[in-house]
Amino acid sequence: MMDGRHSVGEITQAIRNGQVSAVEVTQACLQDIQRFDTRYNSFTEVTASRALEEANTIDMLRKSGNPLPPLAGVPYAVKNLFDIAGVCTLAGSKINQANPPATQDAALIRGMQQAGAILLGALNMDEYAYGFTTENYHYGPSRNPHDPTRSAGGSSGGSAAAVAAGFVPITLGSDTNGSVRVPASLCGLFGLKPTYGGLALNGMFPFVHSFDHAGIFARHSADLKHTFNILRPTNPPERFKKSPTGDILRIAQLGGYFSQGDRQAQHAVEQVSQALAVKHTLELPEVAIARAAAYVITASEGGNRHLSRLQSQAENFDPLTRPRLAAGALVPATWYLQAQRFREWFHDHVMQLFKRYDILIAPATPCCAQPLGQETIDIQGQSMLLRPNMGMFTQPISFIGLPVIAVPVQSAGQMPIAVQLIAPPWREDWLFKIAARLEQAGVCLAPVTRQ
Amino acid sequence: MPEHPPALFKNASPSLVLQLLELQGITLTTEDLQNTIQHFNIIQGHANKVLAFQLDDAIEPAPVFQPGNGENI
Repeated sequence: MMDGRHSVGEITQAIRNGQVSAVEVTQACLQDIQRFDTRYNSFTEVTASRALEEANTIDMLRKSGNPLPPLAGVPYAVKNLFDIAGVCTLAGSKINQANPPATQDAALIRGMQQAGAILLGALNMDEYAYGFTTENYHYGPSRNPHDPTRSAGGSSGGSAAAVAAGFVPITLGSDTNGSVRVPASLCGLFGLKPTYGGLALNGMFPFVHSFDHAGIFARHSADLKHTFNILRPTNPPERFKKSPTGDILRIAQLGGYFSQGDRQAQHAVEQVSQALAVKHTLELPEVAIARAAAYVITASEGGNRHLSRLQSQAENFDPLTRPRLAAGALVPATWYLQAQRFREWFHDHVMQLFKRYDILIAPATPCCAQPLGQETIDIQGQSMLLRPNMGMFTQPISFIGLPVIAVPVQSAGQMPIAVQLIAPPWREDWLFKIAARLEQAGVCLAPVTRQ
Repeated sequence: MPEHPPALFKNASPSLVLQLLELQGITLTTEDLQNTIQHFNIIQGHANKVLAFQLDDAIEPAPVFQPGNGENI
C-alpha cells in the first residue's frame, strides 16, 4: 500500500503509472492518521472531505489523459496558522476559535493545490508560534514519534511529527526564530527555512513581521527541493540565482558561540563537516548580541501584535504564552530600535564572511528532544532554561534572513539531532546540493518512525 | 573590534513592571505578574547586551520603509 511513508517521487510516479489512485493514497493516509495520531497529536483538524475531493480531481484528470501536475496526488498538511478555506485559523490559540472560518486558502496552499497536492489537514503548534516545544495548553502537546514522552519541538511541532511518523511526506510550517529548524532537529527531518521573503506569507497568521518565514519539512532532500521550486515565486527576481557549474563550495564550520551545544550536537556537526571535508572554522561577529537583539525584537513585535487581546482577554491565552507576550508589550522603543540597528550591522558583517565562504555549518539545537514538561537543560555544566534556549543557534541566523536547511543526523541508541547548512541570501540551490550530497552519502537520513 | 561597556541597567522592579502593565491596559493575576516580571527581566538582560554595543550613528534600523510606486494614487 502506498501512503505517507513514501516519498513525493514514489507517490507521483505510482499515480502517473496507474499503479495506485490518488484516492487510494489519500484513504490510506487518512486511515493512518486516525489509527496512529492519538500517539503524537500532530493534527488539530483533518480535512478528509476536501482531501478526497482533491484526490478525485487528480484521478479524473489522469483518466482523461491530460498531463498531471508535478505534485499530483501527494498528501501534505499545514501548520494551523495557514488559512484553509472553511476552517478557522487557530494559530494554536483558543482565542481565534471565535474568528469566522477562513474564506480562502493561504497563498502557499493555493500553490500546492495548483501543483496537484492533497491537503489532509491542519497541524498543532505553540500558541501564536511563540515557543520551541509545542506544549500547547489548549490542544495538548505534540509528541515526538522517536519517543512520545519527548517534545516534537516547536513551534511547528505538529508539522514535524506528522512527517516523522510517515502520515505525509511533506508539511508546511513557519519559522520566525527557529520554528522549522528546531522541530526538524528534534524529529530528525530535513527542514527548509528559505531566505526572508522567499516564500509568500499571504494567508498565514503573523507573529513577528521582521522575522516570519514560511518553511517546509520532508524526509528527503529531493522532496524539499521539489516542493520549494514549485512554491517559490513563478517570476523570481534575479535574486534567485542559478547554480554555478562545477563543484561549488567553500564550506566553513562555525565555532565560538556555536560550540555551546552538548556532546551530541557537537558530534553531529563534526560528522557533517567530515563528510564535506571541511577544514576551516570561523566565528560570526558578535553573534551573542545578534541572538539578544532577535530576542528583543521578537518580544516587542509579538507583544505589540497581541496587545488588544492581552487587554481584553488575557485569561484566554496559553499560560506559557501570556506572560511572554505581556512582557514583550512593555519593551521601550529604544531597546527595539537599537536591536533593529544592530541587525543592520550584523547583516553587513556576516555578508563580508560570505565573500570567503559559500556555506556555513552550525548545530541546529543545543541538545536533542527533551521530555515534555522539562524546564531546564544542563549543557557543558551550565543549567539554562530549556524553552527559550532550544533556539539559541537558530535565532541569530533568521535574524538576518539567511536561507538554511536543517539536515538530520541519526545515531544508534540516541534521539536524532540536526545541523544547519547556512547560505548567503537567495542561494537555496547550494543548500539543496549539499543536503543531497549528505543524504546520498548516508550521513543525513530521515527514516519514518512510530514509537 | 567595538568595545563592550558593561551593562548599565539593573533589573526592573516589580512595581515598575506593574506600572507599565497598567500603562498598556493589561491586567494579570498575581502568578502571571510574577512570570511577566521574570520574562521582562530576561528581555532586559538581552537588551542590555544590545545597548552596550557601540553603533555608528550612520547605522539605521534594518527594516527600511519603502514607499510604493504610486500606482494606487
